[in-house]
Amino acid sequence: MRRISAILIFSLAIAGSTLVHGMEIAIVVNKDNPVDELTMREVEAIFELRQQFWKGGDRVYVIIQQARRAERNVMLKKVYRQTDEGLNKYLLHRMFKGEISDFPQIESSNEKVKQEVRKRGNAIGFIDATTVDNSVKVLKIDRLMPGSENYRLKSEDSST
Amino acid sequence: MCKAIHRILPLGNFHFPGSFAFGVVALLILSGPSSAAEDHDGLKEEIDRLKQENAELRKHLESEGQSIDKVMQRLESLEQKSPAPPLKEEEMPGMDMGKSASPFTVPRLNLQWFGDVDFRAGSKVRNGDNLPDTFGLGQLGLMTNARLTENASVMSEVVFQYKDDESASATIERLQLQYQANDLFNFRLGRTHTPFGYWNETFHHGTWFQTTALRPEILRFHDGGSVLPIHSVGLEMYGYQPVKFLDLHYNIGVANGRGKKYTDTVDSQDLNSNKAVYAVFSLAPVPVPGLRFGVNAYRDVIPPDAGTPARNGNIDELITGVHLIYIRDHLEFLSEAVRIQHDDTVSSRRFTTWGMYLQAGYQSGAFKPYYRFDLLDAAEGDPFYGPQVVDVIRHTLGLRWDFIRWAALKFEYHYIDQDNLDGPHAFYAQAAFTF
Repeated sequence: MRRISAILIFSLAIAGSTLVHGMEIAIVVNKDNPVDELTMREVEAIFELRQQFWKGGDRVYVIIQQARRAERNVMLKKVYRQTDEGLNKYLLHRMFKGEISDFPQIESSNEKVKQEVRKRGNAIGFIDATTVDNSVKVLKIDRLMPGSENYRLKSEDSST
Repeated sequence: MCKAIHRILPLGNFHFPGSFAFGVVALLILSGPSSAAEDHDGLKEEIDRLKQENAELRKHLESEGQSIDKVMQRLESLEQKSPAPPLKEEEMPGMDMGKSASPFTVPRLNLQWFGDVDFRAGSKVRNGDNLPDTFGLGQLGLMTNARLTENASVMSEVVFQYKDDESASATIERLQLQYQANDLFNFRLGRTHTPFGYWNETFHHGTWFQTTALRPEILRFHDGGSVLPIHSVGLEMYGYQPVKFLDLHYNIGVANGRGKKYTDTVDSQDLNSNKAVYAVFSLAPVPVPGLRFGVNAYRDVIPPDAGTPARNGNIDELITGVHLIYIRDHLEFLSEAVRIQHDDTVSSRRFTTWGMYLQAGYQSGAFKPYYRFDLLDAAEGDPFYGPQVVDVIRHTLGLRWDFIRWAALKFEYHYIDQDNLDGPHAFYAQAAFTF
């Protein structure tokens, strides 16, 4: 009985990492980055590494969160529109075609994404909107900030 | 009773059950008055010895406990200390992004191998003879990729394989220095995959990436090469630009032209001063994600070949093509068509070869059934292709099974309509993987 309880608790803990209740994703950049907003199409192009340069000419430094993070699951659904496995294959294929020379940087938490974005003027990352603080700049997506009614980077249901 | 025994014996915190204590006392009584009197002094000595031993043990235990406490304190202090600050980027080997002049930093290298092992049963002809069923090593390709600076990078691809005559070969399939000025203007110098349509640049030697075991007929290696010039050595400009509801991709290049044979890539010395030029434009409409279509053209002047009687003058080559691709969710649809026109400047004859393929697949879990139709309609008497390039119609029905993330098994049945084959049926199995 005790073992079953432990398994149940462990399973719930694991499930908790992927269950999201209305999570909103904030796209964040360095505070010195002059960009204030992006279209959803630009967000897709940047995170899929098709658009590799900022308008000003600097290379975009993409940071994504590690596999099984709830934030990454929302991005897989809303931006990449593929599974985690599909994303790995996609990025390797881009490199095989000579279209990228580096994979995006992988970070394990919202805090670490913010740390990297603070350090790098050309970085862009995504975090849980509830963890936003004034150390990074949140970009408007299609003119909307997280919390707006029609903001698109959020989970629609209770799980991702 | 227990308390009494504890008073007699130095047993510390060890507690006897009541019955056991009773037994000990009974044993002492039953041992007899005479023996008790005789052993009294001995027992007292024994108790004293045990007391002394107990005291020593306690002392030793206390000293051990103090040592353990010290170790624990030390561990706690280490855990409380903040971790060492990470190395700065320029201090990390392999992380030089071109900003540091330190001789101890080198570009970080990405390495990836691609390989396949195959089995074939059925129609295959070499020198007019039908070949027996066989296992075969496919290709082992090593892709390397390194960023030199924020804008410059280099990539190479070396392929190891056994040829039909069992001799081993290692070929530099790609070696290109790339400079990315921005998204629209990028440059690539070296040996590249000629960007015909879609397949050649997208899959090429990466068998694991492609759904099928075999390449389309227009891009298959016939006698070591394809009817299309699949590799180019030269300079290419390429880019990406979103325009309203379209994503535009383009490639424009100038390169060494064709070699003596259609299978040759001219790597070190072009045979004439005419350079081949090529261009590809493709569009991806944003409202229909996954859809892409485009056109391409390749122009060259093929020099004469003294070893081939019919080739005593230049041949003007013009290759044009179209492609239509749709890859979305579980569905994959690929199609390309090419027209290869050879104008013999001596005989004033025109030879036109057509080729195309249509491929469709549907991913369902780890399985992907697929079908492909291939057509190659070779121009009769084309002096450049010679007798090796023949008409082919091929139907391929297959199943791909991605049984683990980085490896796939492919099983294919082929129905081939080709003049010089013994029979129309063939079966291919392939294990393709990357690591």
